[in-house]
Amino acid sequence: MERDRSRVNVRLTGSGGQGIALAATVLAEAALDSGLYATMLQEYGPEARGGATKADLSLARSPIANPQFQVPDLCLAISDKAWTRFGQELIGRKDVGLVTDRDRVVIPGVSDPTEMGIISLPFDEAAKLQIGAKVVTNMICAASLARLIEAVPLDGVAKVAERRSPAAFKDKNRQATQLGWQMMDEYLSVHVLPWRSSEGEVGVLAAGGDVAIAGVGALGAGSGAGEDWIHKGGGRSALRS
Amino acid sequence: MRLIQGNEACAEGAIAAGCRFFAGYPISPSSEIAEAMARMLPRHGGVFLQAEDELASLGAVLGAALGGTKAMTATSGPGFSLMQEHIGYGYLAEIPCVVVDVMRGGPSTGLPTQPSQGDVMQAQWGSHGDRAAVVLAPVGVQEVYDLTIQAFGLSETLRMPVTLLYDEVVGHMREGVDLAIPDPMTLGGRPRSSQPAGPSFRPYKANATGVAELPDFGRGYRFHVTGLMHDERGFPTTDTSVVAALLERLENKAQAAKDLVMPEAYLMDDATLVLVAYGITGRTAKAAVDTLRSRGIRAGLWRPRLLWPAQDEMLRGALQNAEMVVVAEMNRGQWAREVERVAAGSVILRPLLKAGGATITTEEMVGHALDMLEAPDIASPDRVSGRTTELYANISSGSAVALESKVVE
Repeated sequence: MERDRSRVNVRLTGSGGQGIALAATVLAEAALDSGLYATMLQEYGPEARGGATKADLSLARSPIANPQFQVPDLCLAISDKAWTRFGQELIGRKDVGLVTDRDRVVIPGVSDPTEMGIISLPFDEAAKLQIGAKVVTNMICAASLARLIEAVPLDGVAKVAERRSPAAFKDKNRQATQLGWQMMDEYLSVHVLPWRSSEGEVGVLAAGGDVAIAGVGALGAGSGAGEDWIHKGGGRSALRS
Repeated sequence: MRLIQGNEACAEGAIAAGCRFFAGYPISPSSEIAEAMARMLPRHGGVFLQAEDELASLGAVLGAALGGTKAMTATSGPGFSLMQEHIGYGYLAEIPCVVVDVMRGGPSTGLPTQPSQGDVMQAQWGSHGDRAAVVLAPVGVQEVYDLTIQAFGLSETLRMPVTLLYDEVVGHMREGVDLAIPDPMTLGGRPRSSQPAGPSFRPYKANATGVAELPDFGRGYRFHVTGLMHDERGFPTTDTSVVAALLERLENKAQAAKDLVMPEAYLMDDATLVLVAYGITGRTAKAAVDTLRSRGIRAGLWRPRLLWPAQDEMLRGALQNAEMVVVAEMNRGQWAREVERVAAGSVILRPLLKAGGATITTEEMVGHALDMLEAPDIASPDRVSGRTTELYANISSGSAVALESKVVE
């Protein structure tokens, strides 16, 4: 089935308790604030209380008919269990972008995920060492994804993360979003990602300004919300919006 | 715009509609409604009661409603089963209230965390005896909010329990919602008696729209409320003509809902292939219609927001130019029978049924429609349930052909 390229489908996965649903909620809320449409479906079964769990997020320029999707455009996995259940089956697909936690996800037989086009970043370690609170890993991830998707500005993510934090964590969560955005930004400035759209275009995601992964980046392109924040603008691919 | 869950939107809608009493027994996947009501009601001067079970929940709601308050309960299949007796009581005694059923897989305790649309028939027929039901089916978070408000309006105006029926996916989905202040027209009003209190008082004397105008308890009136068949005084009767007239009046008044809740018709003007679906399946069907249209197929969606009473005339009108109809639902075939009843003999109808806890995908729906277009005369099995439901219809002559529905497992 052909992809709707005016919409980005992101699957966030982790273990129950890692804050995956909240990360998706923050992104959805930030998208709403930017004038986009957003839907979020979170796994509701007993898995959400300890096992691998997921949240499916869709962002679009127009109302979203069916909030459900089978194959995401982008999948984040920040635990081994989640990788096994949700990420593994997507490996090798040229139309799906994969993002993992460097230390928490070990892909059997793969020593360097980067070589396979997987974005592998130390989200958890950064939370511990740079922010001093492991609980903000999810906000680091949210901001990293926001940088990758190019649909929601950092300011927006930071604002929502702060709004949804308990008082004692407002600062840490805001810092976490800045750190997450920066981590992805730096990664994209040096890596070329061989993701392709379903039409087979070879894509370089965000790094050179051209965006060819199906859907991803489409929302940031063109006129309208968020235009001025787009990092290193120009050269967007002609994705339908 | 606020990003909230379907269940939260239900609570927001209830508060906006003026609901000030909630009694319930939390149950997946409806629990967030109780949680939100517990949080919000005290702030609005209302009362939240966690009951010992679902019988007590609805009992308390009916009592609060008789006291003059707008009241609601929320549950899922197993609790909805327990509430059926009181739903019947509320119907016969003409007590307004809203009952929310967030559907999970059944029967019995079934699949507590997975979606289903298996309570559709129960919502109409679950309570014994002849009973009309008013059942609303929202498709997303915004509509949960809007239809909760409308459910209160209908229950107040018609003085009867109204059911809001949606699936787990709609209940837990998060979307941007405009929590608009309700239109007073939608909110309606509860007819209350203007008769003087005294020996001549007739609590169950119907007004022009066939609705009894009970005063609120504690307003100086003495009257009797019962689940037995009753006369205008509210006292039990076995007078067959009185009983027959009462049943007829109650059923007739509920029909008013048909003109107040409009279905969604999407790309229906020239549609020859019509998908009929509600709840989350309605979202999928809309995406399927878009995909079919992109392949040059004249597809459309007819989505009822009111499941009961079924809007026969509107559906018949909508299917006037249709040649093929797909009814898609997450059960073993429930509302499909209503469509069969209405469209009998005039269209080829092949339901797409899926029970077991998974939702129907856009791909399955498109595939089903394409199969049907390819071989409309052949009874090919429903690609999801593997079951064949075939309707023999003679379209070319338009004549009513004896309808035969056969199910092959």
